[in-house]
Amino acid sequence: MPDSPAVPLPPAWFHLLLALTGGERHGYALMQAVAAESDGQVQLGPGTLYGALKRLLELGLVEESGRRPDPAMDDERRRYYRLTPAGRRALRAEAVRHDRLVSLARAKRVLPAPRPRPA
Amino acid sequence: MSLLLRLLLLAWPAELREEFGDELRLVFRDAWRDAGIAARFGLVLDLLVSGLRERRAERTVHVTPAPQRKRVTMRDLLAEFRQALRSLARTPGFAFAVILTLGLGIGANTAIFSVVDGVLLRPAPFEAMDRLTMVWETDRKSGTLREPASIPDYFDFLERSRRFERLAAFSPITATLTPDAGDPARVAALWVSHGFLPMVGIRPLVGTTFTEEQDRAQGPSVVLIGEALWTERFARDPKVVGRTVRLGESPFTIIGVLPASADFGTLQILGMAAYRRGYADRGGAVRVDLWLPLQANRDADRGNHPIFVMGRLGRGVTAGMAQDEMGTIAAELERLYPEPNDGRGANVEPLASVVFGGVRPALFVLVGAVVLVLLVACANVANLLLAKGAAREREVTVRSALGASASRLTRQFLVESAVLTGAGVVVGLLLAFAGLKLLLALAPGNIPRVSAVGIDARVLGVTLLIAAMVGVAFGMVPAIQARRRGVNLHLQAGSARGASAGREHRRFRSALVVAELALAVILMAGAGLLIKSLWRLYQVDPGFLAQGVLKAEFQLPSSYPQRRSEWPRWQEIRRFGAEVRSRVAALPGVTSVTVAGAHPLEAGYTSSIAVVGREAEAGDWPEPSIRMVDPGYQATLRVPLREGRALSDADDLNAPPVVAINETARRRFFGDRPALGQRISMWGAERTIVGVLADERFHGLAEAASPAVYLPSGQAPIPNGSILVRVEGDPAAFAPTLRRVVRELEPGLVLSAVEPLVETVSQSVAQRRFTMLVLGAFAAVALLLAMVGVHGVLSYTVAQRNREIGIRMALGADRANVGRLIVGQGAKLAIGGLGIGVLGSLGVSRLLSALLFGVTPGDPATLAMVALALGGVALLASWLPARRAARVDPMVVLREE
Repeated sequence: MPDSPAVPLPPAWFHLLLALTGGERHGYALMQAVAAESDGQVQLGPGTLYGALKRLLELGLVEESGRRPDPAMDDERRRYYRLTPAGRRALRAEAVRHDRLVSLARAKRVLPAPRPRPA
Repeated sequence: MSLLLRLLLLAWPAELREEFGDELRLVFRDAWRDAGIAARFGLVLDLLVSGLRERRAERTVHVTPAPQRKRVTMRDLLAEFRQALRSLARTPGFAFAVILTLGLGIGANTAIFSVVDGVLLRPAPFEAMDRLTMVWETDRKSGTLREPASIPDYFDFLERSRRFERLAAFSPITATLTPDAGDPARVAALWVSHGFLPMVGIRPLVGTTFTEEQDRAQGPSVVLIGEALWTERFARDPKVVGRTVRLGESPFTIIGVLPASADFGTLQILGMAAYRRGYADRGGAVRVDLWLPLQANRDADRGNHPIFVMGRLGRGVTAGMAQDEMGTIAAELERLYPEPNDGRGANVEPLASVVFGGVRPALFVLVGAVVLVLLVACANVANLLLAKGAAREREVTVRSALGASASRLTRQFLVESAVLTGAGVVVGLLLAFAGLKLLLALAPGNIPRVSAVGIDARVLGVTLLIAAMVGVAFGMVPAIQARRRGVNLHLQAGSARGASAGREHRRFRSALVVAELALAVILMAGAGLLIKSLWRLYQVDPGFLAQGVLKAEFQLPSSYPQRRSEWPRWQEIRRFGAEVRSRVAALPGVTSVTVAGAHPLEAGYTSSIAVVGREAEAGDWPEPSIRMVDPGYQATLRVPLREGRALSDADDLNAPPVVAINETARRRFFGDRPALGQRISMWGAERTIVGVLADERFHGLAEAASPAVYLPSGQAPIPNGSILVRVEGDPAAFAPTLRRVVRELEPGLVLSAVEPLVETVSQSVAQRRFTMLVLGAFAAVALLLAMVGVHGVLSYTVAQRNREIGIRMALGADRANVGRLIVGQGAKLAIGGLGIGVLGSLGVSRLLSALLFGVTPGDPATLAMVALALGGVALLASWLPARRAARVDPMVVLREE
C-alpha cells in the first residue's frame, strides 16, 4: 500500500473522504452527500467525482466494498465505496491541518472566538 | 441524452472510461434527472473538463520526459504553408476532389438556406403577422372554403364582430396607366379600404395613406404609388405628392408612396381564392404598382362577391375563437338574407398559412435534400482525407524516425487541411452566389418575396464552420495515428504490414461510402418521384390544346359603354369582338381566332344556376364556372365536342338563348338523364343546353375540372378577357402582329400578358418544376460524390492489396479474375448502399407526398430506375481500379519486396 499522501489534500478529496465517514456509499449518493453536507456549497460533477475516486483508489485511501445491492432494490452495476484505515488517517491529518488554520485565524482575530454552546 | 453522454465520454482517457464508464453513466443519468437547466449545463462542462484533466494527468504521469516546447514563429508557419501547397500540388486530383466536394456542399447549402431564410424565416413586412387572418366566405353548396366576400357582408362583419381589433378589405384590379407620352401600360393595382394599410402596419415612404373621407363612395380620385413605379416614373422625387397620374382617361392625385414590401402576400392570397383571382391567374411574378381607396358602397349587391377581407385579431384572441364568432355572424346573415346568403359561412385562416402554405412543403423538402447533400459531401471529404492519410503513413513514419516532433507533424497536417478547407470555402462562396442567382432565375414568381432573397451571412457562417470542422478533423487523422502507434511499430511493420489496421481502416471508409450511396439513393428516389409527377402532370389531358396558341389579355377602355340596363345589347362591345375576329382571321398564318371571357387556365367567376323543372334540387349544387366564348373558341382551343352541337354565330339575340356545358356539369347536374334540350335558368333567362364539351382544367393541370357553363358571345358580350389565336409556326412571333391589329382597331386598348398559351400552362406547374429541378441537381451531385467515394475506396484497396494480387497472379489467377474481385467489392458497396437507401427513401418520401401527383411515395418503377442508375455508376466507379488491379505485374510487385 502506498504511503498516505502528504497534506494538504485537494478539497474535492477532503469532501469525499468526509462524506464516506458516514459509511459506504455509491457514486451518486456520494455526490448528494457532499452537496448536502456543504449546504450546497460544493457540487461535484460525475466527471470530477470519478476522476477523484480513481486517484483515491490508487492511493488506497478508499476501497470498493464487496457489497452488492439487492438487485431488486438497486442497479447491480453500482459499486459501493468505503474508507480504508489509511484514508481515515489522511482525513484526520487534513482535518487537523484545517483546525490549526482556524485556530490561527481566531488568534489573529480574523474569526470571532467560538460562542459557548448552550448546555 | 445517451448519445450526448457517449460523445462526452470520448473526452476521457480510454482506460478510465473502461473502468468507470458504466458507473459514470448511471450517476450522470441520476444527476441529469434531478438537475435544472443550468445544473445540466454544469454537468456537461464537468465531464468535458475532468476528462481533459485526466488525459493530461495520464500523459504527465506515464510519458517520461516532457518534450521541450519550442516557440512557433511566423516564419515556421509560412514555410509549412509553402510545404502544404507543394504537397497538394503533387496530388492535384486529390486536392481538386476535396475542394470541389467542399465547395459543392457549402455552395448548395448556403444558396438553399438563403432562399428559405428569405422566404419563410425572415420577419414579414407586416406588423405582428401572427394576429393577421384572412376572413373568407364559404359556400356549403359548392363546398368552396375560400371565396371573396360581398360588400354588404363586409360591412356587417365590421359592425358585428368583437374579436377582431380591425377588419379591412381589398380587391385586385388591373389598371391602364396612361403616361403623357408613349404607350399606355397595364399595371396591377389594389383597391383597399382606408383601414387596410394601418392594419397591416405598412407606412408610406412619402405622404400619407387614405383617410376615411377619401374612402367614402364617390370619394375623390386619389392614389398611392408603389416604390418601384416611383423610381421608374418619378426618379424617387420626394415632391411627388400632389402630382397626378392618368388611369385610363381620368386623372388621379398621388397622395403618397408605399414601400416595395407593401404588396406582400397579395399574389398568394389571390391565388388561393376560388375566383376573382385577378392578376394571380396570369402566373409568374406580378408587382402591385398602385393602391386606390376601395370607396365601397354599402348598398351594393349582396350576391356579388368582389372583395377580400383581412382582419387583425384582438389580443389574446385565437383564430379558432374568431372562427366561432364569424360562423355565428355568417349564420345570422344567412337568416336575415336567405336568398343571396343561402349556404354562406365564414372561414378565418391565419395569413401566414395562406401566404406560405403553398411553398412551405416544397422548401422544407429542399432543405432536407440539401442537408443530405452536405452529409454526402462531408462523408466524401472524410473519405478522401482518410485515403490520403493512409497513403502517407510511411511518410509520417520516416519523418518522425528522422526526428520530426509529433507537434510539428500535427502542425503540418493542420496547415494542409486548412489550405484545402480554405480553398473549398472560396469555391463554396462562389458557388453559393452563382447557385442563388440560378435558383432565383428558375424560381416561380408566386413564391412570396423571392425577389428580396440574398445570401445570408449566418447561414454561410454555419455551413463554413461545419465544412471546416470536417476538413480539419479528418486532415488530422494521419498525425493522430502517428502519435498513437509510435514510430517503432511502424518501422517494424514496414511495407509488409499485416493489414489488420488497414482492414479496420478500410472498413470504416467502406461504411462511409455505403452511407454516401444510401443518401444518394434517397435523393435520387425523391427526385425520381418528382420527375415522374411532373411527367404525369404533363400527360394529363387538359381538355384543350395549348400548342400553337398565342394568348393576349385585354380590357376594353371605359369609353366603351357598359350600361347594365342594356346588357346584353352592348353594340360597341359586340362589334369589337367581331372586328378582332374578322381582322385577325384574315392574316396569313392564322388558323383560327377567338375572343373569350377567360383563357382556359383562368378560374374566372361562378354563378348559381337551376335546371328548369328541378329548381328544388339546385339548393346544394355547386356554382358552375361561367365561360363566355365566341363561336371560334372550340375550334381554336380544340376542345372536343362530346354531345350536341357547337355554339355558333347564329346564336345571337334574335335566336333562342342557348348554352353549352362541360362533362363535369353534365355528370353533376344530370347524372344519367339526357342533358341536351334541357333548359337552365340563369341571369334572368331560360337557356337551352345544345352541346356538351370535354372538361377543360381551369384550375391547373393537377386539379380536376369544375362544372362549367359556356355562353355564346352573341348573347353575352365580352368586355374583357383574352384573345386567343391559333397560328402556324411560333405563336410568340405572332405577338407584334396581333398588337398592331388591335392598336389599329382600338388605340386606347392595351394587351397584357401576351404569351404563348403553353407558357401559361408551364407557369401553372412552375413551382413543381422548380422543386424537381433543384432536387434533381442535388441527386446528381450526391451521385457524383458517391461515385468519387466508391472509386476512392476501391483504388485504396487495390493499392493495399497490390502484393496479394501480385502473388495471386503469380500463382495463376488470370486478369479477369482479379478484375472481378475488385468489381465484386464495388458491387458489395453498391448493394449495401442501395438496401439502406431504399429503406430510407421509403421512410422519407412520405414527406414528399404533398408534392406528388399520380405516383405513390414507394413507386416501384422509380426505385427500380434508381437501382439501375446506382448500379451503373458503381460499376463505372469500380472499372478504373479493377483495370489497374488487372494490370498489376507480379514480377514488379514481388521484386519490390
